Amino acid sequence: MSSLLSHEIGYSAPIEVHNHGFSPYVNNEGTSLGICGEDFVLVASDTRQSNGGYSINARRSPKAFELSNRTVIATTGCAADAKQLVEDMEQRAQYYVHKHGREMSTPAMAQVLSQLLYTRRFFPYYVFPIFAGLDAKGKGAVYNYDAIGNIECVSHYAYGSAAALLQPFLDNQINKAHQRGADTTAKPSRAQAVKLAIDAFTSATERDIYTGDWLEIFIVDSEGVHKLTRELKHD
Amino acid sequence: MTSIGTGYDLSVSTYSPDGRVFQVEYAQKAVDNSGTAIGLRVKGGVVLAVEKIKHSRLLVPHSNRRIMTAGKYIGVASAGWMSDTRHLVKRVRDEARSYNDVYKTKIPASIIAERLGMYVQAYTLYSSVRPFGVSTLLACMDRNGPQLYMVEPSGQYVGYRGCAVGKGKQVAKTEIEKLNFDNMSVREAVKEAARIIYTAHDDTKDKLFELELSWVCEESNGLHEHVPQDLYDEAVQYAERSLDEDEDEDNEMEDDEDL
Repeated sequence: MSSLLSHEIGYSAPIEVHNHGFSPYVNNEGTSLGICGEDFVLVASDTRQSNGGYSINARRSPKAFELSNRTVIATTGCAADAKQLVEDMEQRAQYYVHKHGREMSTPAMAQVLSQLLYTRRFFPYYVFPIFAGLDAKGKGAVYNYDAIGNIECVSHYAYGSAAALLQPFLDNQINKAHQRGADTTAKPSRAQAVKLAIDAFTSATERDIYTGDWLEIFIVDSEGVHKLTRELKHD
Repeated sequence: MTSIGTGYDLSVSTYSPDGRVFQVEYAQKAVDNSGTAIGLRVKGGVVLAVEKIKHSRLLVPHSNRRIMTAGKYIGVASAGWMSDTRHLVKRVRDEARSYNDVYKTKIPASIIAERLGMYVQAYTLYSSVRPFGVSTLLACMDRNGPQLYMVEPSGQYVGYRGCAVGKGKQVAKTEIEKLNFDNMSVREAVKEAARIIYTAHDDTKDKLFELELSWVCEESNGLHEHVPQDLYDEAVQYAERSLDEDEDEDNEMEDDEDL
């Protein structure tokens, strides 16, 4: 039987490359932010889902969810991956309850989320989560992650299509960045944080085509998770 | 009483007709032939004490510790094969580490007990491995307070207020049952543990022994460590004194009988 291996017969036929252009990732855009207060945390996301072009997939597709009675998560990126990631987190939270007889603490959940993301290091979830909650002492904590699980505990963060518009605004208003002589130690009150979130999103809606429709704000305090909804411009 | 397995004891994957797994029972025998180890759990912490039998005067004192620490907060004392113990302690350390990697919290006592129990149990399923010849005492303090667990060669793990394993376990258990756990401080428990080890030690069998004492409590900041030298000395003195008192009592009784 003669061998027909190309390297043995000294000839290889030109390989036809079919560029199907299939990418497993799609960016559904939209924006999320998180703000940390002394005894509360706030997480806000718009609900517009786009397809990366000029079309809208959905006007009312939530991106922020509550994971327990003292933690919430806001997602941006690929909506399908975000849905799966949140389901994964919910399952891990339930598994913990069955095993330990109590809910997972906020820092533990933050670490689990980081670990979940890194497990997919070589085929990442295209999600940039903001995870927020109250720790055992009732103090607020906001964590932001990149798609492969780098975790940072911060006072505020914004992700998504309008992140570049919101982040400097929040830096200035919350951390008093670039304000001479301002009190940088004060954390925003609950009312201030809500106002900041609404103002940030209404401004972002004007300038970013992917942000708009509705805004969902989740506030976590000692009494639990509260949800506010505000309408944004639909154009 | 030695049970004769008559063919049902050749492999751990074989049951006997009366429902026993002889290899696991034989592993328990290895534990029973080792130096005594006891654990006492009181309100303020957990105390572990081990009768470390020295087979040679040439051994450096305080070397070859039988009480080991895992993850800073978990104390492990054991009776049985020391080589198996080292393997299990490594496992406890790895489990505590992996839990912390995932949850960024120190592993709760019930969880580490379960993980060790399940690991030990796995070695009772296959004929290609032998069961661990160790009974392990786990001492930890978590958010539910101080806890003491014992993991047997079968993989069974139970939480205790006081437990004893090894050669002198019968004597030790009798003494432990007399203790009033609710009203004992950790320091008192340390001294009682020393006394019980000394009482359970049989001089006729092994002359040389060294007492090892460790605790995990508020005074140690929740860390598991060997008790401070001054408390150790105090405990040893207390133990030796109470042994002498027992001897005096015995002598007194003999005098009465003469009359």
